[in-house]
Amino acid sequence: MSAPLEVVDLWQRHRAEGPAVLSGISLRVPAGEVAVVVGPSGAGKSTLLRCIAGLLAFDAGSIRLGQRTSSPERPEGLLGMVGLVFQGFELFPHLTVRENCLLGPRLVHRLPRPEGRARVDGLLEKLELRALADAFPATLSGGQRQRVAIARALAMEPLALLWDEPTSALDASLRQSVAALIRGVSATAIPQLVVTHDPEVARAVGGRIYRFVDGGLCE
Amino acid sequence: MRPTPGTALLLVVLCRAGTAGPEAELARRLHGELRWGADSQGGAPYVFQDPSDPRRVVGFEVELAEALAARLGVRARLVQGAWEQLLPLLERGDVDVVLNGIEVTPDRARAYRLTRPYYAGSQLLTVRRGDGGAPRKPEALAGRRVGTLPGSLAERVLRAAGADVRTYDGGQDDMYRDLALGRTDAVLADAPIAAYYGALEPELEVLAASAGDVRYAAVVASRDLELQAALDLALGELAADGTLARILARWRLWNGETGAALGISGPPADAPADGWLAWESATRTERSAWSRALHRYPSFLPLLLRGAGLTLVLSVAAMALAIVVGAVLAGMRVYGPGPSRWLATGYIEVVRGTPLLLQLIVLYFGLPELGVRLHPFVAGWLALGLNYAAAEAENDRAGLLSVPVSQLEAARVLGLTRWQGIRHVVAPQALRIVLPPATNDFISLLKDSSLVSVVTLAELTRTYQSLASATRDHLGLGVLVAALYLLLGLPFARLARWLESRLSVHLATGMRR
Repeated sequence: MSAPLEVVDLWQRHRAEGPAVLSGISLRVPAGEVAVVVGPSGAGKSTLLRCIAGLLAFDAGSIRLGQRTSSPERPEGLLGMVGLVFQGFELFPHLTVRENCLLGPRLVHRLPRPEGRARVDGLLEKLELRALADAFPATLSGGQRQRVAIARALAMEPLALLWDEPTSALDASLRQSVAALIRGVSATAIPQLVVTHDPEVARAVGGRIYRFVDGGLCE
Repeated sequence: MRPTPGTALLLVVLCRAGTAGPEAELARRLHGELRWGADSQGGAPYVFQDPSDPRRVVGFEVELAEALAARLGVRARLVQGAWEQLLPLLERGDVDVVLNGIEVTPDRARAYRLTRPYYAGSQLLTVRRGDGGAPRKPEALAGRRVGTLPGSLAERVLRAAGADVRTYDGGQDDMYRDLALGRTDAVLADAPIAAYYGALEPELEVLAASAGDVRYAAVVASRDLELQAALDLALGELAADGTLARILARWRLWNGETGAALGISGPPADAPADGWLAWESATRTERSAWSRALHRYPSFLPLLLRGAGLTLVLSVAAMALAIVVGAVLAGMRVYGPGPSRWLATGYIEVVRGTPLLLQLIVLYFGLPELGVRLHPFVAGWLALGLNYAAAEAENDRAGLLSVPVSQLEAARVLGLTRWQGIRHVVAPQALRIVLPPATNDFISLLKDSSLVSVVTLAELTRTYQSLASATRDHLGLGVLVAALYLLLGLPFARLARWLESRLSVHLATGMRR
């Protein structure tokens, strides 16, 4: 059922006459595997993730996830299909941990409250967040917030999961556990793509490593 | 051939029959009532609230209107309006006739139809008693500070004389008080006003010499020849049978000029002046502020509460409109495509950049020219609501922009539509930012609602002004009305603070419940 994430010859420039941020990116992440893109800050790694997630239009190329595709004509093709763990997590501050995770299932999947709650509480259990279900994000530590962001993304049962700089908002002591979290998600058999500027994280995660150079990728 | 008594009788019968037809038709057209416009804030002896029972409106013009209506075979119904706006009400069709000390002037005679006069008299100067430098002649007025009522004939006389004119919207009492306090050097006003307000102050002196003539006439719309003719006929009858002279005598307004203007003789010498006497005793009684409050204010309360009720209902309804329209405008401005952004921005700039009073007057008196006639309450509601919508739109915009764009992106990645993201993620966070200024705006709106008095709505401030002018008690009533405004606003301020703390719960405590 799970399909690989395929990016084919992706071109993107922020302004019409500006320089290309992504120039012909291609990559393939098989289901259940993790690929890591390493590159300096500002190289365009976040841009790549936002194009895949459907938040940003691109000029040429295509993104495929099984039957689903994004194209320059329909850049939002994968919106809602792909989970994204934001660099700053972007939890909704006015909602509790559980409500953060329930919002998508309730509004998008139209899941009745009991079913949604069962799904979310199961995820919170796995991520050791059960005790914090009724807490507001402002009271959580960085590591806890990251796990809430993961739970919120997984509650939507995404076809792929993207990570934007998963260690940058965390204390150094938590970096190793992030790699473990990412490997843990691999068990759900979806493709994952991690972008980071930190080569150590890339090695800790394992999986295929791409280097971001001048808007293109090399292994 | 000289008519025999028999043919004379026949002629009279024919004449009566000849006038009965149109009269009955007029009564039908008026739907059984003569709507007459007046401003009770103008005060005694014209149309004012009875100081001893403020629920009643009394005055010589009240009695005249009732006598005229009776002649036309209909009931008299008073429509309150601001004095300067009474004549526009005629054109708008809100009243059939204006009867409120409207002086006969050539320009009014051109724009409207004036009946024959029902009162003739003088304009009188009032000065401070013993003020050696006071202007005591019209020629001495140039360059002097002189008080009068805005839009009155006296104001024109003063301007022509080169006086430094001070006009008083608030009522006749204010202008004599300012004179007594030395803020002006003299007051020029019609003789009835001078008699009822100026002459009551011991430190003021009403000069006997006339500074100009004045005549009052009833006014109807220029198209209403029929009503003018009927009113002229009725006034003639009231003059002939002594009713008019008796009414004027009751208020001590009878004078030789009126007799000459109407060609009638005066009332009997022993005609009672009970209207005047009641006014004098009610306003002359020297009571301490405390006993006045105790004795009078309870009887004022029903009127004030009715005014406060109108203020409250109007303000709440207008704020609801402002919140809805404001939210739509803010949404258009922050999230809409180009044209809708420009539209919303244009609306906000135009509405915010022009006075509320102007908008209200255009809405009420201007739109009828395009065939749109709004009920006074609807006009007031729309003007206040649409005006405050611009302010709310800016509040909402600030609130929406205070939420980082990435929050909406996070919602979109989850699969929420743009609208769902705004509704469930951005708006709830914006609300906390919007609430305090919106509460502020509601309190402002509550106070600005006093402007709707120009469209005939007797809200709280208007009620205060006419009561204060009728009872000559500005301070005590003012404190009472201020307290009422505070009472109206406070519950909403508390409600907003409570809501705000509820919306901030995630920042303060962390755990729900």
